[in-house]
Amino acid sequence: MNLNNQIPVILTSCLIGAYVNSQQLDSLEQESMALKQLNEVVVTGESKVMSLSKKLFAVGVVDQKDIAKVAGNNLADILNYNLNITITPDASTGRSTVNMFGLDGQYVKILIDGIPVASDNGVGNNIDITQINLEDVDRIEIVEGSMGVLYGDNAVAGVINIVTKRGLEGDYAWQVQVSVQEETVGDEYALFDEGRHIQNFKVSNQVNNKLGYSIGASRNDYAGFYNNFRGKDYVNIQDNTLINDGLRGTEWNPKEQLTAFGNLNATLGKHSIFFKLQYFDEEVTVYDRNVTGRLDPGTGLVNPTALDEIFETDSWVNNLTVSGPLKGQTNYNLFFSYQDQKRHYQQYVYNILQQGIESFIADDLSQSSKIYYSKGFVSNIVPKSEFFNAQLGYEFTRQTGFDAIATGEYSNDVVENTLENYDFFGVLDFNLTDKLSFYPGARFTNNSQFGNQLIWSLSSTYDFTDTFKLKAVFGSAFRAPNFEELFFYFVDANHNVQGNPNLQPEDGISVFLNLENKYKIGESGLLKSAIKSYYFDIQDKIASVVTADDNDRSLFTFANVDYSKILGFSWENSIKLDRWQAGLGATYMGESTAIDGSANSNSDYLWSFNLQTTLGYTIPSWKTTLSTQLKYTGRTQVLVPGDSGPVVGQTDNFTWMDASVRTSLTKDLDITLGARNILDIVTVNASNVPSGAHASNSTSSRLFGNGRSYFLKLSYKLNLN
Amino acid sequence: MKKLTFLSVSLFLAMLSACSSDDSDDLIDFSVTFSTATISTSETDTTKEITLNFSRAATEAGTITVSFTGENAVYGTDFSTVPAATSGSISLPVAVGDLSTTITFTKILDPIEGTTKSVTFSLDEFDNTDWMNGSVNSATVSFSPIAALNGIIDLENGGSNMPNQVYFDFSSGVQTAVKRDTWELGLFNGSENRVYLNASLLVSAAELEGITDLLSVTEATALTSPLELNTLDAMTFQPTTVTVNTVEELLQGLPVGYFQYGDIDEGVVFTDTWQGDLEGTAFAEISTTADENNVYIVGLGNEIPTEAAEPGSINTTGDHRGFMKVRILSDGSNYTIQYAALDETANFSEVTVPKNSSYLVSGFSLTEGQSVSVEPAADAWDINFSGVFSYYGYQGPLVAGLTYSDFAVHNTLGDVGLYQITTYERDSEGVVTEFDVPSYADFARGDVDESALVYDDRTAIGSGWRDAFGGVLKDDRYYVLKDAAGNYYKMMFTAYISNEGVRGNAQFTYERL
Repeated sequence: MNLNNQIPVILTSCLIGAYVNSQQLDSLEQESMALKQLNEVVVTGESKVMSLSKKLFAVGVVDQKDIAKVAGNNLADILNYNLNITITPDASTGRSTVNMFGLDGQYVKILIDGIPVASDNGVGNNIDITQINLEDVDRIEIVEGSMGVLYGDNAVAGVINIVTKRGLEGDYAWQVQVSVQEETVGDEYALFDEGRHIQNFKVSNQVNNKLGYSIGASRNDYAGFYNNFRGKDYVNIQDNTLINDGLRGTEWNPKEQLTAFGNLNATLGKHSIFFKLQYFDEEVTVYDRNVTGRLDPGTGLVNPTALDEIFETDSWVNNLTVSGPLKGQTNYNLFFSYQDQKRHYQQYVYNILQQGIESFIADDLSQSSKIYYSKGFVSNIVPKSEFFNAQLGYEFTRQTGFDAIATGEYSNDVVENTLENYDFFGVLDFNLTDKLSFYPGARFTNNSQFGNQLIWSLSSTYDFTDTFKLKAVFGSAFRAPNFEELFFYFVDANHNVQGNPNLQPEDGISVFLNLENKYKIGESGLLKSAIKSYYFDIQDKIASVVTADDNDRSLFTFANVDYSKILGFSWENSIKLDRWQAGLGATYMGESTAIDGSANSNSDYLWSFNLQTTLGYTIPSWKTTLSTQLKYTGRTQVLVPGDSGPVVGQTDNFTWMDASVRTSLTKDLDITLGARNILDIVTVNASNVPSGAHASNSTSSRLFGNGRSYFLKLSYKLNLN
Repeated sequence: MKKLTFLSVSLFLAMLSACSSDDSDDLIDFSVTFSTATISTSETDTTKEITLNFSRAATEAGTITVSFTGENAVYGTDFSTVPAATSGSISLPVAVGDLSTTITFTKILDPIEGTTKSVTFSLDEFDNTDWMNGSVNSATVSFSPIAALNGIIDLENGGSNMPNQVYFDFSSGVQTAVKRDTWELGLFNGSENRVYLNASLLVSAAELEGITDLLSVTEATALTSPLELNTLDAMTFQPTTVTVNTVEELLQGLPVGYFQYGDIDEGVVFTDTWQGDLEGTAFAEISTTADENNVYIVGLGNEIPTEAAEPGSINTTGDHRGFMKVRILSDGSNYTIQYAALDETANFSEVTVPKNSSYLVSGFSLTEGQSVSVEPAADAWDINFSGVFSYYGYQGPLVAGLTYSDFAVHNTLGDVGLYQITTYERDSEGVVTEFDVPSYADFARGDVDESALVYDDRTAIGSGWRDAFGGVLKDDRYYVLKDAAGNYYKMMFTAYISNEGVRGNAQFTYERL
């Protein structure tokens, strides 16, 4: 551990050493670059289409440069460095979900160009963020707090919007981008069977100033993290007896993803049209760690076999956005989307000695979801009034589908379910003075399962000066019960676990205060500092409970009985000065979870401390950027299954650190070399976590990472006229 | 030009890393093998299935040609086959999806005393050039029994519902599968007058102290004195007590399950003891004085479900089969079973079953009202792989009606002794302690510890040989068995699920020492 702690120090001093050497290289070019950066900081996103409303909320932006620094291929690679976001990876399913303010992925809504992403059995929330490819992405916007009025259900902890690149910069007609990226997974790497291998390809064409399009594809081949496991062809046979040492397979399951996309950007008069088509395919292979060693009755020799599984996800996204002026300065925005997601499940008998498949046991469509979505709003309805303005809109979602896994292996009730949402919302602007504005808003939701819901919000901004601003957001949102909570069914002689179709949504209220100021330092330097305070109150939280059924048997089901309260403070700073860019943020968050459904209850606040720093240095003459990021995540409350319902446990603190060097070899060729997870995190200890009823050898740690990994990315961009 | 070169290089690189070496989608080679190299028939058992197993399900249809040669045996005279042979060979069609095919062999004439007869079947050719021979290319069928020295036995418990209990005899290598729900009572044929319950069907029985009039008993009947019994609270699973005043109240706690009533300390147990001793039956010893035999309420156990469970899981206990009132009498050489439905007050049925000394225990079906053939003869079985097994007993600190799966009991009543050899132990910290014992492969006759043989507890094997929650067969143990004739065997389980993960497909291997 001592050694691990020293590594960041050594690394940072190496980086600083490099900076000092190049410090003398002053040039005009550098100054102009810094100026450009300053402008960017001030105006980022403000005027761009499809942005989340910066007027109402504090919006955090992760741009292409941030993505390039860590050679991010999917959303999970980059979101870790947001102060209030923790990525929760699951080694067994390969899924990674977002945890924001201690609330899991079900409370965070993820959008692509303002349209919710289809997830396994929901719309927008509980998204596996490793499935969101960044090849075609311009920037990522993060809004914290309950955004129910503008974004509907499940936008409780916040909203993450992924904005697609549009058009070509400069006057080129054609652009071809190719990149390859090779990564180790921990210290594992081989050309095919170990490590991570990424290839990207994209062609864009700007036909004229009214029409542009691009197509591309990205492939991410993650061979899994073996750790102490020995792969799919491992078997231990001694004296013709199978030794079941449980070492077959991998610690993290291998995963192969392919994303293909195309988009079209057109202008018709004053109206702009954007169409995005995306196909995604993912295959996760799960190797059985237990080997069956039946004897071949003919030869008497062990014939080792294992039951391996493949989860394949296919999804299609068709998103259409139209916007333009309605009348005068009043604008309209229309969104239409059809998304289709299917998951196939295969299970087969793998013959280890013959290294091939003996037979298929299951080859089913286990989940299917079709989503029709539309949203529209009209903004700037009263353009002539300085005092009053309004925005009005609707949102419609229709989801049909089934999920055989979420409803349980034993359920006969995997029939298709349809959920419909009809929403209307409006936000009013009251600009009382030049400095003080109020934005009350409300949304009326009619859901086919839960009936009518009302969501409201009140934002207010007070501008002390042009740069010194206070924003306060008081809003509500709800999380709808998920498929499993509603429809799960597992009943036999010893089990009685059933979903509760009468569940109501969880109500969430949040208060956000954001005080921020910007200071100029010298000619080109800029310091931005923000203090935030937030409070979440989630009522009627759904928890697993034990009750009695009609026959007085114990029934494990779900009910709206718990609550969660989260209170936190954070302080975020960023500074840009000459060639330096630095960021320092800290958050102190308390979480109190009450479990009324079980005997164990803990209503005390558990406080945790998170710290995040970034440091970057640019050497213009070498066209080189050095960067390092470090994030300290304090101990966190987690709900873990106990003997009688879930109990509150904790995971220990851990520190995550990445560093990279990015340089341009030629005008068109970039190379990025870096290291992820420099502190070599594989597991994080969990305490107060009792072992489960059936888990004979329960571990008291959670898998979090793949160990220290290195990556090399070559990217080539060719511009043609 | 430079750009173009780079572009093509990187495209090439991209394509190179895109063509992954992952070939797990490829099916293994299709090969055909006889399931066993030797098959024997007997005087009574004249028809045998000769099975050819495939390495995987066939993806193309085709034909396998099997040739045969007879030793002192002529086709049509001494034996016949289905499919029939034409000019010394048999054509076996294979359809897409098939995992095996069979030839049915029927013996027509037994060999003359002092001569041997056999037929050897061999793989001849395939019409599909991709198919190949597997490990066993020929199988010889003997016309007379061959004594088994060793074997690999795929138990016929019948899958995830475990519908069958299987009796196995090591010296003959014969397994006898009997459906679990064909009997409720087992009548002991020895000198004592004892009645066992079918533990594989969760049958239970409660004595109505002081009541001998069968027809007078209904649900409303009050017990002669109230019973204070232990049970578990349905919500908390903690021990509690319940007072039982009537038959109706008794029925609540009679079926085997976590909430079964009982009081081990006071000897009130509604199942036989797990050990299987004569003194531990739920029925008291049947007296030859009729008036001393009380009425019993018999819980008929649970139906065998028909819906298969998911791979890795079991579905063995269905709906409860209801209750009957039963009174059993004996004159020392016959049992007389009087029984009726619980609400019947007019007539009862009566069946008299004579003791049969060839068998240890004779099966009796209350639902069919007759004797049923269950156990093979006393010396013709060593282990009963009962699949399901139930009793009222201890689970950790709790006492409850317990139901097990993958269970095996050995024939303690028939003088079969057995003990377990544990090769290593892993404690909760994962530390492994190796014991100084031979491995299964090395274990020889001289290693037998006569004093370790267990004769007073039939559950020496039980179900501890597999970890169903962890999904693994335990590789830390094997067993040594001595049959009533004094033969010694070692046996070890090699699987508890099929390759497809289906429970109730145990396999073991054994060898005579």
